[in-house]
Amino acid sequence: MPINFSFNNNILKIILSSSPVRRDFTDILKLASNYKNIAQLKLDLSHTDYIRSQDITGLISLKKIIAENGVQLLLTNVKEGVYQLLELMDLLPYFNIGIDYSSFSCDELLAFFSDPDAAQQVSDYIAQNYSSALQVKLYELLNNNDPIYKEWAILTMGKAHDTGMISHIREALNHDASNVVRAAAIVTGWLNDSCSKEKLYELLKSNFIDVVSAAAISIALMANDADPERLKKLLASNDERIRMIGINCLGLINDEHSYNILYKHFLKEHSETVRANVVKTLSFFHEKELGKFFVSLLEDSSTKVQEAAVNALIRIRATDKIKYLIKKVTDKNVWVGYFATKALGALCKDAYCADTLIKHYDHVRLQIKLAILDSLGKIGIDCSDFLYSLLEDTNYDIRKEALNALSLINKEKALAAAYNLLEKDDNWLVRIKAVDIIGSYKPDGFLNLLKKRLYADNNKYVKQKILEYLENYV
Amino acid sequence: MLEIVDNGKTKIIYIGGTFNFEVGLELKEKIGEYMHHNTLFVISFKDISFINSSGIRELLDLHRILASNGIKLHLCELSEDINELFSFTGLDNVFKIYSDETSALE
Repeated sequence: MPINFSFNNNILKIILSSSPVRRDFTDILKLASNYKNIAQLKLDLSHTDYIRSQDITGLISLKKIIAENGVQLLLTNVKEGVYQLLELMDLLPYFNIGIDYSSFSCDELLAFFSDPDAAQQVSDYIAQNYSSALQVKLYELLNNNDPIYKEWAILTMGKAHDTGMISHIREALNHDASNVVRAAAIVTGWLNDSCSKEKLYELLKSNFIDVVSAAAISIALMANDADPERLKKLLASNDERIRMIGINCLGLINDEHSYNILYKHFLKEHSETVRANVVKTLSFFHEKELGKFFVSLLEDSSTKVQEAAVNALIRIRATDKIKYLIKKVTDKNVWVGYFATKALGALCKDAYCADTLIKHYDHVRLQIKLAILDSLGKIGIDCSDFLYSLLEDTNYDIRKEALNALSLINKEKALAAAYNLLEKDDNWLVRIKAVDIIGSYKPDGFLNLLKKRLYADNNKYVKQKILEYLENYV
Repeated sequence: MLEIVDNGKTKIIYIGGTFNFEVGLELKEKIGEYMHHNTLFVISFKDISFINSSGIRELLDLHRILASNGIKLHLCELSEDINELFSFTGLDNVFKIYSDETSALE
């Protein structure tokens, strides 16, 4: 017999005994018939150590019968022995299996903190279902000698906005274990505990990068006018990771002082990764001079910075720079042309841009040709005749990108082209693109067509792609 | 821009531009008016281009106020940049974040 059951929010939850038999599943069916509007039947197997293989048929019948009435079956808290049996009988794909933390006692829940795979989920569950009983247990854990338990207790209290033990959390900033200090540092920020700020500044000198990061983030979250200047010291570090943390925190504060610090830092920074990050961070500020600055960076010696500048122009929607970008498409530096074209794809929506890109197409290198095709698709102005003419290009990348752009602009023409290329193109990448277009648009008779090509095509990747669509659709 | 749409026991809030201290304050004020008649508030980040630290402070405070009243707060449709920011600050572990409005309402 089932141990217990409850009905809430259209979910009938039943806790099974240690070794349920076939008749138990029949009883569950009878029990379920007493309730109307059941959306889900949740069978909790946290007490179930074993189900005999002949009794599993009862579980299968149960699933089948309730499914006919539109009720979903969910097995929860399945123990290893039962899980292995289901695996052995090849039944795992047949059942939905999950975890239901509401079945566990406070102590059982907190024991999950020692399991790295479960700790995060349990912590989330406790924070969302915070009770005085759980609170007491978490407070006890703060005095636990195991740093893992202490770390999760602090993080969970932070998520639950529990400031009841803030003095203990402040003390944890001095703990020997870095994971505890990191947890305490991040939680002081979440709880807006400005009394911890000076200690957090001390932690910026820690040898542990996670601690430095957590402390800097919390300072930024609690920042006042004086903090950007103090956080600026992170930008002078020899450690690139610390400079990145400093940049991100100043970006988070996002005031005028932080902007000036970042702008000046860009001019003296030597690492291209960090420079690219400064460009990205600066794009989160609303400063008028930025469009001009980002445009100038398209000619930077680093492609990382050039790419960051393009993304920054897109982020600030620098449509006033479109004319300048169009001029740069044919720049003698291929990367400048490439990135300018990419930016146009995201910023333009008019025929003038599309026509100009088409006009330049024959006069630029392959890399930019591909960027033009990508941008034409994004701009969305119908230039299907031009794209159609490229489907017979000798370069397969061009054919593939032209087909992709066509699919974004003209569905009918794209489908006609995809049918043709799937059958005739000798390059498998082009054929995969064709499958993607047919599979996404799902025109009448597409399943039969894909099935036919599944047998006719000789490339395993094309076959795999076709199978993905067939399986998903069926 | 701050618009509140009624969806029965749920309110969906649409905000545009930068989520800063002022926006956070206005949001808290508006939600305060409806708080006791709702069980869930969903904030759509679809049109939010950035959230700064003072905006985050207000959002955390709102989360605290709602949680203490047994009301849920879900966030949805965060841009890649804002998702990165939530991950950097660890706030993806504090807030319930959904990819789209439909799943945030469930």
